[in-house]
Amino acid sequence: MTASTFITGWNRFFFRKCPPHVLALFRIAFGGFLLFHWGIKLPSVPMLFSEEGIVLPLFDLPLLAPPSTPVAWILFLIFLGSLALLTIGIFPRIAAGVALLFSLYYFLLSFHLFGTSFDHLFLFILLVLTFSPSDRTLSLAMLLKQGSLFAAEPITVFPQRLLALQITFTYLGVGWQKLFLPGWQSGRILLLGFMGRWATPLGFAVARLNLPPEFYDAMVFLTKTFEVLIPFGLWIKRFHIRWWFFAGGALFHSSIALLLGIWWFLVLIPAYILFFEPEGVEKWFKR
Amino acid sequence: MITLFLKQWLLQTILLCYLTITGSALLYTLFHIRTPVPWTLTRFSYTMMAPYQGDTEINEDLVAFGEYADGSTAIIDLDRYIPGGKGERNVRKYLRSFRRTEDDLQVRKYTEFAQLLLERERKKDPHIRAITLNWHVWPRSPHGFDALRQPPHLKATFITRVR
Repeated sequence: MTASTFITGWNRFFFRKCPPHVLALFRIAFGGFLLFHWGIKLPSVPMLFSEEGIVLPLFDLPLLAPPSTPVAWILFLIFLGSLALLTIGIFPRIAAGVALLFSLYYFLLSFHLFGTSFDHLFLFILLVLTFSPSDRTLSLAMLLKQGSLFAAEPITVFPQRLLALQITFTYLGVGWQKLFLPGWQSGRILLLGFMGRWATPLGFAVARLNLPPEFYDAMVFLTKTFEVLIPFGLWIKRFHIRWWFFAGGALFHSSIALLLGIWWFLVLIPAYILFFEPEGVEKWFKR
Repeated sequence: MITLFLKQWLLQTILLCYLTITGSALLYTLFHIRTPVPWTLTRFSYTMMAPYQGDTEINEDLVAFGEYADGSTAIIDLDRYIPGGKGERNVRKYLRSFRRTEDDLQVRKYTEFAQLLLERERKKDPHIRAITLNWHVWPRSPHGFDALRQPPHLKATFITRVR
């Protein structure tokens, strides 16, 4: 491969103009997921985000002083409104930017105590969407502008690639570190998980089956093998290999949600759309 | 033409910065190697690729006791103040982002927590005089999160008392 063909390939992969369907579908799925994720916190707004609750901000800054309950409600409703706008695709960049600022605010105000991987991932995704034309099809914007939800305008593939890369790197780090982490060298970690704070009644029920250690060793081996391979498998089109990894990912994240109650990574299942070529998805739409 | 060139240059720069930060985070995740990339950026990226790195043999929880004017004591239900799922509520009680080390109980923040709790409980019951926070540790069991949360398995550590 010459330098020239590499540069051409690089630019085509990261920066070519492409149909907008993949990014639009992701916007709808991710926006809808965030609406649900934050919407279920509605009954807890006073306790989580106002002076009525026990709120310990990460920093002692005036901006992070817990507001009064009415103000907390107004802020939260604006936040939900921005997520709704993002999902339906009207002013999505502004909506994503506002949602990003609110997500940061709620993280610094309260959710730093939860401190999870997925909230950082959601911040990153909102940052990318803030600078992305994710409303160029399947959006209210296109309905108002061109009279059809399905009208489409070409966009750059760059945001789609960035998001797909981040999911790849998330799996890469998560999977490959398990080859070295002391806790992941036997199946014991799985059994402990089924008896810990995250375990669901189903998780405890599995733990009560008193399955032999070899079963858990085998399950952890399978998990590690899958997680080590998935960053690559998601990209391999030949022989439908990626479909096996999409199915494996769906099974993996669903199992975690069912057994450990960690359901936030379920959003990665619809996010697999990011690994499709936008031209192929457009063809599917035109069928 | 210049605008297009600048846009291309900007996008390439963003991509290279992203790959550098992510590469740095990956090096830290896998080998704990720190690069010259600003730690805040590396750490943010690292956090996106580092869930569930290990576990322990024990379950833990924060417990608050209210002391009342008639000399009685009662456990205060913290779920009301820490809403969310069971795992999320439990994680929040560690006040981990204020801990300097894993074993540090960060008494100052827990005292602040207890003070805020006392103020709120006093609005409900003016007879409450003090609140004590303890940290409970007990072995895990397949029979439930709290199954072995009793003597002789339970170990309670005093954290703070406010009045």
